[in-house]
Amino acid sequence: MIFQSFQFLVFFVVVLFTARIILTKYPAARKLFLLAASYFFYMCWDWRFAGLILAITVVNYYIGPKIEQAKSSGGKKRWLALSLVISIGILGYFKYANFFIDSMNVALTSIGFGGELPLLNVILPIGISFYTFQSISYTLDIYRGRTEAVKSFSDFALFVAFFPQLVAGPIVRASYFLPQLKDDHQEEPDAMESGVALIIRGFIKKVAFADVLAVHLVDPAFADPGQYSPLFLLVGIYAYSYQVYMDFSGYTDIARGVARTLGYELQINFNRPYKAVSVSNFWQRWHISMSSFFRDYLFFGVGGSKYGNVYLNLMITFIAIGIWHGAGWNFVLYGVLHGAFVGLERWRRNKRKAAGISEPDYQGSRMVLQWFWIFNVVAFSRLLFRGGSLDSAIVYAKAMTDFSVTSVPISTIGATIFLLAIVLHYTPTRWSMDWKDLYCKVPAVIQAGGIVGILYFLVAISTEEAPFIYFQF
Amino acid sequence: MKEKKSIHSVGSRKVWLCFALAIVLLIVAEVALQARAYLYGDEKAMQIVDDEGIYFFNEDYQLKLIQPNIVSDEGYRTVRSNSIGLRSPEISQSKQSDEIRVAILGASTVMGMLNPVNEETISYRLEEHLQQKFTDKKVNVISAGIAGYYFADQKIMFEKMLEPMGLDLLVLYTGLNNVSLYCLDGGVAAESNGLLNYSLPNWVLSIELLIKNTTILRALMPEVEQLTDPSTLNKKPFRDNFDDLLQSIKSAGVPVLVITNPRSFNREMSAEEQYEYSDFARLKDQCFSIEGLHDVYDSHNEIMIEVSTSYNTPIMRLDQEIPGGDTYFADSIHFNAAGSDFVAKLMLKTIMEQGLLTEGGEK
Repeated sequence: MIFQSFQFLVFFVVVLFTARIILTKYPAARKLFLLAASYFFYMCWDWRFAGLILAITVVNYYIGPKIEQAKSSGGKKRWLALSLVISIGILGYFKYANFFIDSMNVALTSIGFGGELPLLNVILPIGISFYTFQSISYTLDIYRGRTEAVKSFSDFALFVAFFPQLVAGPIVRASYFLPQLKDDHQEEPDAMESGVALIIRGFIKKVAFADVLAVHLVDPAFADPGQYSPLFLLVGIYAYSYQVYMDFSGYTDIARGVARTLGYELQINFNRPYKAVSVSNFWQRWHISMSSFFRDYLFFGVGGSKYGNVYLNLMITFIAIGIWHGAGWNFVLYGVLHGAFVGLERWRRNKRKAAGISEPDYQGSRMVLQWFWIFNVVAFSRLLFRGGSLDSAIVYAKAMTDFSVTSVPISTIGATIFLLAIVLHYTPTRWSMDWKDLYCKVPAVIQAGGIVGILYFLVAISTEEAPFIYFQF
Repeated sequence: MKEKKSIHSVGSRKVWLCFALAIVLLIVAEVALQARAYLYGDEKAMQIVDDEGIYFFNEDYQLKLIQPNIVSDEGYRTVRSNSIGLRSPEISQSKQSDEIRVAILGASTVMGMLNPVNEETISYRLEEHLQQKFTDKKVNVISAGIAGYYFADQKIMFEKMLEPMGLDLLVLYTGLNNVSLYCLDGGVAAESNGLLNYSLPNWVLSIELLIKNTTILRALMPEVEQLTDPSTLNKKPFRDNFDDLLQSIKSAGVPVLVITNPRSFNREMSAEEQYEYSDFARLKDQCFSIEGLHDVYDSHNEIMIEVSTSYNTPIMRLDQEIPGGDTYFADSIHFNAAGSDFVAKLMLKTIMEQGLLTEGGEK
């Protein structure tokens, strides 16, 4: 049940009406209803995986109080380890088992033993990386004393399975979401309206930008790179960066908007990532809920900048980020590349600090050049990400050096959307706030006309009901 | 600063009002389109509710047919049907001794999808031309085509309806509906383990009209069209189903003439002309590019020729004989009056040359 389907529209209207109108005076029933709706939402993809999410929920719900009640530090650690082993074990089985078996076979073959270990016949449950990380953030936060163990099983189950963010985040921390499930929780007076504004913005990002960029520029370029000129392939790489941003931030906007209309807040996940002035700054702006998760729980966990070798700690963290995205050596290399850049930036910063040189202050054209440089680092590293394998990335890179091919088949609609995506990305951030305020201020009849007009426009421009890119993670 | 409020409230009344108004606007637009469609007699929601659509499912034949004995004014065409539900004059179940009885079996093109009156359909014109040749006999040409028919429907129609009628000749003009199956996951829905899978009903006009009138927004550059590659298609089901249909006709001992399927756009035209004339075909078979349509339509014709040849069945290469463009075509594949007449004359010529019906009587 993807967001841009008729199925979801009906589901959302029914859930919103029931939660806001019918059950408004029954907080407990409201939460149980949202929990049931969330499981229904997940089972619309594949009912078989409902047991999986329930198992992860039960394990962590049971272990949470055990960590809290353990008297010794060792006891807390043992319970936390159990939570991590089971949760990450389930994730590892479904997501990484075949990668390790395949890698083992290659290794055995290379040393003459003949790798013939059979691959497992497993399907990757949608959103498993997201809800697994959300669940373990709960036990980790209890271990660190940042949150208390929740008493209500249904509250904890709703936190893990809350449908707006269930399959592609944001990865919500227990300490952020669980307090919102208390009966006296309050919302902003214009929460519903600004939620609707967020949903509209998300749909425009997904349907009018991400999907159009994919169909007109990205998919053709990556499907057969040898057929196109280096210029078109360059546009394909740049367009992919905007596609994946519009796709994922569009999903986040819809998720946050849907949650907000129901009275709950989800964390911000993006902050104009291509305005980053360094690779580490990029990761403070891109998929913030995931990068901050790895920073807080892994980077600091392995020592951060205080214990051990900070560069090694950074590399471990970024390799984990790479692998989180998928099981493949291309994702490992993606992590290594970003880890190397962030490590290099930190080394230069340390050198400057030692020499008493202040950090560069990027202004004007220097800032634009820096944005462009970092954007290129990110965009080209995504060759590893989009190609699907190391080989595909190499084929694409080689095709970019073949200047004998001159085909640049950029359609008017593709070019327009691409340029618009770039322009919108660099508009002042306050404009997006202004858009939300403007939407909230206009009369209901204009809002309704706007919704219908946008709906018709999106139907007209929509190429297909393409799933969100981050569903695969 | 505005005060926060409990989430256990109905929320913003303005949002509910906005939702209600949006739903009203959507419904008003849809009702207006449905009313327009109703006035033009198209097969949409209100007619389905009223059971007044021109089609119905005949339980005896297990076929979709036209409502018997109707005169349906649909604005762009008036359909007159006979008592068995065909767009054809009344015909007795058994053939008379002084009668030549021919049927053209097919789909929307044979039914005269875009022919305003029955008199402009291929069968009517063929009947006129044959009658001039066979003056001492009464010629009846049955228009045995219903929009949307596939090979399977045509086989049922032949076996249950046409064969008992004692045909002297069957002209098999299958049409291009079978191509659309490739765009439906090869005609087989993917297995799903999801709980529910519902979608917008197919009679909703708002979406259909929007998509139909905004193809320009979704048009890709010809070099980058990533649609279904015709070379990857499994054409065996097409071959097997056509073979099955032809075998059924042949085994009944009915002489048959196979017509290849033409189109109004061809490779010799400029890209703009091909785009213009292929509009309906691209809408019908959305998973193919223009070049893909050329490939798949041509390859299907080739298969029909191969199969027909294996049964020693005469073939009329209409795809090679009729010029493209809008002289004879009303859209990508359906004929206007001139087209129907052109096809009828060519059928007559082929029938006479092949000796499928001899002057003074049937073969």
